[in-house]
Amino acid sequence: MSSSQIYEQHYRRLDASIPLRAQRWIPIAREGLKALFSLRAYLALISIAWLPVFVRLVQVYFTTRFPEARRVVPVDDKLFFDFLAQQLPWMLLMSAYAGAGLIANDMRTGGLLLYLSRPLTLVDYIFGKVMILFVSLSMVTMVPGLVLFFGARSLAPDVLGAASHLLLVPKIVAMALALVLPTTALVLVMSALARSARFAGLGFFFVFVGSTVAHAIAWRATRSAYAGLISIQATMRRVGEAIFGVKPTRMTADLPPEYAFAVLALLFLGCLFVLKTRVRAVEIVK
Amino acid sequence: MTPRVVFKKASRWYGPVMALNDVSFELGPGVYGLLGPNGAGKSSLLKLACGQLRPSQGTVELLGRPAFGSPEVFHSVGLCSDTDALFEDFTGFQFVCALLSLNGFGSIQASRLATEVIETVDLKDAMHRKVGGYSKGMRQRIKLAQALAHKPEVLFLDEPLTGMDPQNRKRISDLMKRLGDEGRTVLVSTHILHELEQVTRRVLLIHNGRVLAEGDLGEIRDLLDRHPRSVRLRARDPRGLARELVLLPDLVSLTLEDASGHLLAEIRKPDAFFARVQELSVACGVEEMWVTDENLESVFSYLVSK
Repeated sequence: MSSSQIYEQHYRRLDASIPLRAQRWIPIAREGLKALFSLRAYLALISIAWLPVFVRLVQVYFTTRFPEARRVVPVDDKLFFDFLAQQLPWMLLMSAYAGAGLIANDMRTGGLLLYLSRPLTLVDYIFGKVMILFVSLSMVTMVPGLVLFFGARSLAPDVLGAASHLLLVPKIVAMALALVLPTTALVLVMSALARSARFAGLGFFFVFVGSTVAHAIAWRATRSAYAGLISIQATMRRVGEAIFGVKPTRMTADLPPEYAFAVLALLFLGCLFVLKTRVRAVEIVK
Repeated sequence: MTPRVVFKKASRWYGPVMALNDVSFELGPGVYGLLGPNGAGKSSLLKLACGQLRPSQGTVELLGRPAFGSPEVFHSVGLCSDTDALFEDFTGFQFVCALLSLNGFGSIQASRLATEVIETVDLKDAMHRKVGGYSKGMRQRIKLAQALAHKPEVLFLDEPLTGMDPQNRKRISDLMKRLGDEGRTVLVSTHILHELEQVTRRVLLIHNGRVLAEGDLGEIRDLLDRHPRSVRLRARDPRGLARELVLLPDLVSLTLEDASGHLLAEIRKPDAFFARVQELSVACGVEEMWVTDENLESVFSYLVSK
């Protein structure tokens, strides 16, 4: 059906748009975050998740006025470890709220076609979605952790003012990454598998909380620290304990942190693999 | 001129189900209709053409590259899919701008192109309203706008006129013709024949995953005219109308339905029939008339059986 007709050529393609650009995921992440930040419930959730920062800062301020209180509430690495560990529930809520529908909605409605009919690869799409959740979860872990550190440093320069304490910054970042990256990947996998934001959220909680319950049962049965490897929460905590050098809990005291780290890394990579194979613009019905 | 869309013995099956079977054709500039009843393989063909599916056998090329796995060709390709997935919380303008940003346009250029294309599809008054509040026809037009905004060389439009009022159908049909005249390749998928007649004479007919016919729409119309079509009429004086209609030479059968009072006519030359009904409309009080087998299912079964 090729044509021999001669056509007018009124239009010219715009020059800017020939090669594939670098950072093609940025518009996906930007538009997704813009949409999230326009939601009041999301902003409310972030605001509430930041309350512990101010509570901790008051605590630090209190110890500057009453130095003897530092024996009860020390301003040291453990303060920041405890803070990040306590942010975990907020992170889970945020994951379910902001992340459960990120891929599920696109796959259910066919919206993925809108993305993949653009000069983007599937990897760009997935990375864009990962970044939306990564930024969201960092807003309740890494960012408040760093704000807490610099706030505490300015409130208690005698305790945290030394240059050596700046090492807390990479520690906070590292633990936040250990919390955020596997969680992000897991939520997105649930979102890709469930095709419904609600079921994705429920599935995520089921896996996360279920692994913690399974760990508790396995530990009671075996008294083995290695039982901690089946719990996402326990492995995250063990990695955090190792990063900050704090005393581990009884259930994971003998669990080598490198094993815990390997489990989280495998979880993250495995989830990315599932995402890569599962996310398709076209549903294939057999 | 180098063809822009090339199917060479392309087949696609989903497990044991054959969606497309040994399809070969080439599309150059201009508007082409992709016709077929529901389930014929139109969507699979479009998805193969725009690189969303990999052919199980054969090749599909788009702008000289394999359609599957060549995202860079999408700088020059627009897709208006049949899915109703839009960014509901965005305004029409934001929606088009957001998708333009995926094409690599900066915000100023995206704003200019979005405004331009939204005017083209006549949505300027509603461009700052949320897409979630758009009517079906407006959603269709904003989908079309996002497909056109980056001025693609090749456009795939899946049922683009669905839900539009007659005025906008005319406007969008004219736009499709204009795009073809400008030298773009436009492939319009539809199962409504008369929608396509307003836009192009060149069609590709598919049925059961095979290309049944390709070429000029006139030939298809001829087949259609030889194939009896059913028309239902409601009139104040159905018996009077029946008396006049039975005189038509191309009438195959005429039934007066007692329950509804409707007339059911089977005709061979619809144009002559419709003209006669028009003449009788005042005298016999014709209130309503509709073609009951206007979609292509019956035509295809007719073609397949020949």
